[in-house]
Amino acid sequence: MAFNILIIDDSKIIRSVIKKTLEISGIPVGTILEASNGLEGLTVMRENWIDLVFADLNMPVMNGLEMLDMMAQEKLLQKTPVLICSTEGSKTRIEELFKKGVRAFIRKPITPEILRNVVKEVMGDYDAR
Amino acid sequence: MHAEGSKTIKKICFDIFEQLAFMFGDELEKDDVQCPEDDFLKATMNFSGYKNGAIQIIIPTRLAPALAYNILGVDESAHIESGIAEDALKELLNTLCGRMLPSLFTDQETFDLHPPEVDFVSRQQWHEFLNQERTIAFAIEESPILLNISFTE
Repeated sequence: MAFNILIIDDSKIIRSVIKKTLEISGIPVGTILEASNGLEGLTVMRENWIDLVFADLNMPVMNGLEMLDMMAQEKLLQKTPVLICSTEGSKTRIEELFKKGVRAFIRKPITPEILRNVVKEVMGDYDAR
Repeated sequence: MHAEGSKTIKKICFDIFEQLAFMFGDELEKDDVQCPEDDFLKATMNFSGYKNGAIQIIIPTRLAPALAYNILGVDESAHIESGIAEDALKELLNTLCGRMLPSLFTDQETFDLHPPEVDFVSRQQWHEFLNQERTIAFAIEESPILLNISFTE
């Protein structure tokens, strides 16, 4: 089974790095879609089947926290696993993210090993599928 | 910037340049900084929350594409889209800011990081920035980097 993944980050270079890292990490990847802020991300989620969302927090137009609040209000998006990939260093805010249903948090800069392990933790042992 | 704060900031800068872009840093005293024959890019990130202020970094312009190539992990002959080099500098500053603020204060408090902005700066502006008391200097791949954190009430 391959995962359809949405990467939401206002930085084009970070979207490229995450995409490349996913492709070489051994994670079974189907389609990778991209968005540059939370609002664009919500539109992509409403129009496509997404298995996993990578999202940044600090973004223009709609930030990651606002996007999570919007997702919580939409039945079809409530259970989509979200993995936050951010420079955030506040323990208070990271706890707030988990209370909002975030499945995992990766502090930038990311490495392929960390990314692979976290996806494995969130999506289950895909090696066994 | 007092000595301990300056030491913490330099350590974070060296770590982030290495982890993000596989670029390595060296100590550089402000008095020893030579203005390179170059143009410069300045990235600014404002922050608010527990403390309000801004972090600014100035790098030689030619370092920005190298930063982008290294972050992407591609050879310098590879084609990169326009704007990617500036984007690399913004992401570097974003990562630096996210690491520095909890290290300088506390990881229990929250900060809101605002979208970074990039501008070109002249040699005169570079000298003025260097001469500010709170500016610290270090070298990355032998290029001088200037960094400044300011706080407002």
